[in-house]
Amino acid sequence: MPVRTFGIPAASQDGSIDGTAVSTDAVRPAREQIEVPSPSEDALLASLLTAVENNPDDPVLRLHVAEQLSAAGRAAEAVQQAAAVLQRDPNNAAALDVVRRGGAQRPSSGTLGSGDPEVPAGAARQDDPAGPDGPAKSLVGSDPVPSEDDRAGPTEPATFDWTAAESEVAGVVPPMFVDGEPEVPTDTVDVEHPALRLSDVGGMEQVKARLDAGFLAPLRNPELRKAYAKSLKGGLLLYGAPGCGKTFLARALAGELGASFVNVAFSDVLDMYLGQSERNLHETFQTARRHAPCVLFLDEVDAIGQKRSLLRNSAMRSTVNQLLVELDDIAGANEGIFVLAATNAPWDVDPALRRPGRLDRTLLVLPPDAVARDTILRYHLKDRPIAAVDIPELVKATEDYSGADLAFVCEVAAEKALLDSAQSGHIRMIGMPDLRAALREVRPSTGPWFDSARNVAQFANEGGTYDDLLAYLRKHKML
Amino acid sequence: MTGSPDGSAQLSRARALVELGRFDAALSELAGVVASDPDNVQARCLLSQALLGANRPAEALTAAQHAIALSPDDEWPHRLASIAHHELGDRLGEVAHAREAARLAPFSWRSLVRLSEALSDGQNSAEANAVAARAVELAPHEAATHSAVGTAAAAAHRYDEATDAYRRALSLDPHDAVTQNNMARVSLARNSARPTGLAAAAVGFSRALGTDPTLDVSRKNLELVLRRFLSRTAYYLFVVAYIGGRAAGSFDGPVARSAPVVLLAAPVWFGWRFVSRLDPAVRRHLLTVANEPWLRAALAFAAVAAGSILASAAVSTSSRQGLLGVALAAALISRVCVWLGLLSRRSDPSSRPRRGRNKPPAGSGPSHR
Repeated sequence: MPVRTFGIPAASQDGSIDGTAVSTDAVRPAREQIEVPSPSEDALLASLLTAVENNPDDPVLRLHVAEQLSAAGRAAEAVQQAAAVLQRDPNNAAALDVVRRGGAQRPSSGTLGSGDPEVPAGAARQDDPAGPDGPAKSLVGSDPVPSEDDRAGPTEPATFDWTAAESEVAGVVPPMFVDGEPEVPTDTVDVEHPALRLSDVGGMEQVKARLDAGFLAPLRNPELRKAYAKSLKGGLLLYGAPGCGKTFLARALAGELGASFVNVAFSDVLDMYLGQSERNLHETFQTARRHAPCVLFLDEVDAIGQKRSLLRNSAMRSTVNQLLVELDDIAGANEGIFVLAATNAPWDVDPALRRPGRLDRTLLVLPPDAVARDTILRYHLKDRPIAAVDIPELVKATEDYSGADLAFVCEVAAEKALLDSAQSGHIRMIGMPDLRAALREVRPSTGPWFDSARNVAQFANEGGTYDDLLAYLRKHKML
Repeated sequence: MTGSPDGSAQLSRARALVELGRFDAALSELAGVVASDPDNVQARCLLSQALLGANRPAEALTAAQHAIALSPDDEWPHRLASIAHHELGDRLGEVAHAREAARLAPFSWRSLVRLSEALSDGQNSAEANAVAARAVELAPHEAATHSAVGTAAAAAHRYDEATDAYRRALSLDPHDAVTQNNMARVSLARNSARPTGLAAAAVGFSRALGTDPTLDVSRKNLELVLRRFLSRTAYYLFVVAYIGGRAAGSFDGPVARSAPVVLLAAPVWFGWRFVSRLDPAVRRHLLTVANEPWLRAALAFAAVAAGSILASAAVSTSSRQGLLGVALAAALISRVCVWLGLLSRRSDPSSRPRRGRNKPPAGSGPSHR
């Protein structure tokens, strides 16, 4: 049976009769303890409930279902249906009758379940034979003055319990006035706990060594860090051609630290409403703070933190300002937060983000070296039917290919073998001819990136920011 | 206008994504909006802008034409259509749509800037200048209007005026790489024969590249300037060797003997003036350019020519003629090598960039943000 809730408060979803509506699934335990209807009866009721779902605005149908449910001993569900009718027509006598009977059938709260709250005073009044208007009025709170019968009744409470009644309808009727937003800490982004380690990253030894020296060593040696008064402030900006494993490295780093991992893409932050992007960013940082120690990974930081001089849109500028505020950690709440950022276009990142204490260290993530290519190729071929694949030859032929390019090469080779098998009717393995043909089709995608990177390394290398890139370009005769 | 709040949100996201240069993501957002609300002019225009950014001018033109059909009195789609025609190399279409945009929104500086640029491309510089001046009147604090004045003036070969306008534009927006590039072009056009002019152009192009490393045309222009310098130097060497040879054949004595050496000072001075004005980064790049096979050969022959000229001062008349002949031949070969080097990497110094990679085309945004 599908879950159908009608916006009731969480506390009443366990089946308590609160005069409004309850979840149909939530009352199952109560039904099982009261009476177990026969299968055919159950099927009929199920059909009737489906009919109500399909036609929720038909009060006659609802009342009929309520009667049937009441007859089957499913009082809570009967009351729910009757309450739905009463929402539209508070004076519906038949519905009130069902509610009254439902209240009479309903066992005590202790029978329903240990977590069941006490039957509120307002609901208890439904047993009151004061006439059809009495309970309905008290349900909506429109009659604060107790009736003559109420006062006369020896077992009734002397005064109406407004607090209990309000708490009952709190989820249904929103409060008229509030003092600020209720602060319920919720995670706005997914928090992962990566099992990856840096040792899982194939090759890239230089990058790993630099990560170890610049990031992990101070973390692993708190005493030394204290002795040298080394601050943990500041983040690390990973930059490089697209598809070269920056995100993978960040995940591995989080795993290495045993920290939570929060991956923030610019699409998680970007929002059309004024101020909402800043709020999203703040909430993301708050989530990371709640899960400290945590690696907060800002993917495509050139979008979240683009140079403000390039932005005409003032809302986007405010997002960059918010990012600066969050990184600056004025309240000192960033303890245990390790900010990693990645970008393909470091030249578009606002220079203010690169200042000390923010993303003050940069690390170039280059296309995979031979060892890494070997690992990547083996990984992408391992679950495919291959025969006589010469990995060293492929490794040699794929210089400057990114990890994503290598995955695509394997994909194209598989496609070729598949197509050939489909055409010839003979299933065959993926072989070197397929991979060689794929290599002819798939060219390294890193070329355009290196064209731009070459320009920035040559003509905008202020303060030696791109020295490692320059060295790589010289080594590979790309200058 | 978009009807649903979801469509409005998608449109706003798409606008932000276009500004961030995330054209593919913007196109995904816009596909949904256009599918649910095909008569949404804003969505069609944004789609055209994103397609222009993604280097798909033909599709951008189609999207702009859809928008024009839906709202013929809106200037934005006409402006986008004009840019799309420009990218497709259709000058007539470019100017026609730019004129229509300016007619529909005579007080929109963006429309006027687009028209001015379209007219400058078509060498209709007088009208381009007048339109750009009107744009400056309307929006004196917008760098793009001053840049348009500079472009119109440059098209009319009024280089001083163009330089002033570009300077004003850069004072308003120092990070405008396209204007930096265009200013360097003016410097090159104005002083291409002088080493200082060549050096200023080289530095200007390198600055444009530093500001926007994706501006490929600046890279090409920079390399062209450096090759032009090498070509000039080889040419001067050739002239020195030729005059020296002729002088050695016609005259004798200390003057004739020292004339080639004195004349050799001209290309040396030219080279020194150029190199000394370069940034260290550009100087290093000059060495890189000169390291290409043709240019390396050119430099080697140039060195042979210079050595022969220097040696000719210390030998007898008959030997001098021979050495100057060698110098002449070496200088000639050097020049041919430079020419071949230029031929293999020919680039167009007159191309005016509109944007770098992953940047929305200049002037493609809506009039009212």
